[in-house]
Amino acid sequence: MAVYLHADSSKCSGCKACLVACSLAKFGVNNPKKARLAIIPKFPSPGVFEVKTCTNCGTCAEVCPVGAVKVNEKGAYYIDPNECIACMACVKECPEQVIFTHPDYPTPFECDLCGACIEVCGPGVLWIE
Amino acid sequence: MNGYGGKILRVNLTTGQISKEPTPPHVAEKFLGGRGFGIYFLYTEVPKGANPLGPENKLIISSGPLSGTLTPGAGKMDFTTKSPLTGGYASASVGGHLTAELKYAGYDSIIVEGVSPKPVYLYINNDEVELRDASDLWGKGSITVETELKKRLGEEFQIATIGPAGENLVKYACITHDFGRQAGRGGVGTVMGAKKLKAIAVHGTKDIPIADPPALLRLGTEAYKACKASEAFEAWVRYGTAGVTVWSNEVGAFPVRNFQAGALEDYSGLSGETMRQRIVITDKGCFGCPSPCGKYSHSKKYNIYVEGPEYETTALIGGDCALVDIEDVAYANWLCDELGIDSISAGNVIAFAIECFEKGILTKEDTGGLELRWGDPEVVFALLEKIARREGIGDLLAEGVKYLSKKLGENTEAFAIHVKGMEMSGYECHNAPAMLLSYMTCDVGAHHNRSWAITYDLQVGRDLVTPDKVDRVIYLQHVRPLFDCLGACRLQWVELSIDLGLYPPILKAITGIDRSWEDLMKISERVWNLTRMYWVREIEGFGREWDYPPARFYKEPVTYGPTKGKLMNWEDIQRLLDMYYEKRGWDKNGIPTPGKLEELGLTEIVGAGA
Amino acid sequence: MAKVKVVGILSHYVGGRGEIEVEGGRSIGEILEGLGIPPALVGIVLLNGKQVEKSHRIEEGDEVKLIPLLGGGKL
Repeated sequence: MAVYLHADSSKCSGCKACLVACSLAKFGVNNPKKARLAIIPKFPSPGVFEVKTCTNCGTCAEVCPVGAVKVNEKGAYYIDPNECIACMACVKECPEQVIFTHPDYPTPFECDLCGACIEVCGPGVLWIE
Repeated sequence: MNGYGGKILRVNLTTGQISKEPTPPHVAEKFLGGRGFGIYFLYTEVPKGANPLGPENKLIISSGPLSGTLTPGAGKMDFTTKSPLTGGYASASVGGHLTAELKYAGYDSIIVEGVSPKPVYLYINNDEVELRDASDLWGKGSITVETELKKRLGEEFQIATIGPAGENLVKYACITHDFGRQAGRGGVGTVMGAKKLKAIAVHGTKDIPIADPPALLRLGTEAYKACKASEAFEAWVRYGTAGVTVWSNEVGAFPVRNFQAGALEDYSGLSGETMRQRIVITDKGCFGCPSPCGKYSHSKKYNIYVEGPEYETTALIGGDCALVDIEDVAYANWLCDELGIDSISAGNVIAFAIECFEKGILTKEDTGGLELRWGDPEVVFALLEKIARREGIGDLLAEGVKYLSKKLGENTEAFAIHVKGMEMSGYECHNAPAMLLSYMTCDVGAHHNRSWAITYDLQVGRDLVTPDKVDRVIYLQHVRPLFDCLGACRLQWVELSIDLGLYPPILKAITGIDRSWEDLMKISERVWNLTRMYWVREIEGFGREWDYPPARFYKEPVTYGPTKGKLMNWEDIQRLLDMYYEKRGWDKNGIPTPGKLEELGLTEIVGAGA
Repeated sequence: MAKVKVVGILSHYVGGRGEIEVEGGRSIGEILEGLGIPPALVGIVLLNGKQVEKSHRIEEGDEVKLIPLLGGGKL
């Protein structure tokens, strides 16, 4: 099985420290709206958080019309901004909806297994395996 | 300006005009942000003698330089205003995600001015800011409105709302955010209601400018690891503040029956573990917090979802009214959240009313046939509804315990448990001089959050009335509210004991400005003295007497618990104040001296506003 | 025997020891008295991970953790 970022949603407190750490590690900015995983709060009922991470399913690479989605040394898919034509097919087809865009950047981005999020997670939601 | 959203947003509800101005660097330098911005704008912009419910009062909503960054607990927002409850300074802090979102939208403070002719809500989406009609939301509960606005605008919007209590100008109405967090005390919700501002909705997608992002990533991550490594981490996350309940009863600090006793006969039904087993479903955290203290719960008995109860609600709605079942307290908590009432003041006022009824000062004629008695959840639920809607006896109770006791007379003032008109929170202190001094000198009235000194009383000896206790109170009054200026939570330091030394380097990495811990404490002392001067300016004859505690603490001994029979001594109370004023550089009447104001760089501000 | 973990400043009262073996069959309050630890300074008592009151009896094989309630400063 491919290595990927696992999440035990039942432990998530919704704090978003993972999102901030991600944006700092990957883009060098403090902005959780530029993160590569997602937290979906479900309030007032049932009152839980759902964490969405890349499962390394490879759908993005399959649907990319120009082969811009590659694999890095950690085994994670990444979008090469030099080759991406911003057609957004990967964003649309991702089953977990964890390929993200932001107006500041021309091309979408996804998790590359850097692990910065794991370091700051208090309840221990995340791990790479 | 690194570390800041960059703009102050001004919203004039009378004219509908919205304007933006750059966040003034000299104010950021001297006051940091959060509560510091709050008192700065309150003192310099709200004219002396303003009616708290009128158009001249302002509601100043501020984040701080740590808000929204990679710092443990970077999720606190301050609401400052002139208090309709006390007539003095009000500042209430709320966790959740609002403060971070405001920074991502590019703002540091929202200054709400005037009064709207019709109910509105404030819509902020990055640069797009407008006032929208809220007539279809008016009258609805806070949780209901938050749910509705998230449906309409999107889950990513952060929402703060008032409930019917704020609309009906209940003097201790609160503002609710994130399905169960409150800016609770002093009537900040009342001011919002008087301004006909039903809700605030914020969404932002911008970067917070950071001086040294790699350093922030490194230092912030270190701080998160320090939190996770704390020996107290598992207990804190399992129970949150509810873990205090058992200890408080065991040492006799738990207020029972309007602060007559220090413990319940049987408190097992209120314990954190009972709560965990019966109702808790999720450990819910504020922005950036690794140690989520929010205990999001579901009561099967009442079929409600509520975040809590916290220790304070358990102490005032539970102990003080003698309720012994955590699920009953949880339902009362939900009522307070949905109706928009500060649960601390509410519990305190209801306990006072029950005691008055017991003594025959209030009768069934006053209560519309309702029999007020201790330990009856239905009484508490009924009174909360009446207070929120100002129905029957609720209209009187909505004014707060100070007004109520003055109105009722018959020596009820002796057991109206407040200081400066703010109802006392959850620590019984007939025999806890440091904690009592904390309540007496807290800058919003009898609230514990500035100086939680009860543990010091227990550490060195309850009976001691010594200078070191005063030193401890002053130290806590500087370091704890500093976090309110930084826009972050202090509980990672308070409860997990992470090193305070972790914060200055993080702040420097964010702002680019090198500040030592001493520099930061000086800013905190500046803010403390300016909030004191606000009382001096607004209250005719303000001075020493306004720091006095309720007579119960020095006239009526504790009736039950480990401190049974104990009493404060009037001479000791005077001695505590003498020591406190001297150490603070204030005169014998408790007024900051010109020399102290000059030392703190406040002469210009105070001179101009006097 | 039961195991008692003594956290932070509480360990000052037991010569700096962080972990102590005690005999079961007594209440937490009695154990604290025997160890010379002021009960008022023990904020939370965890028995096998869950909070108990100081009147609770400890049995053989139990694991107890004593956490101080300082309200700021070093644990």
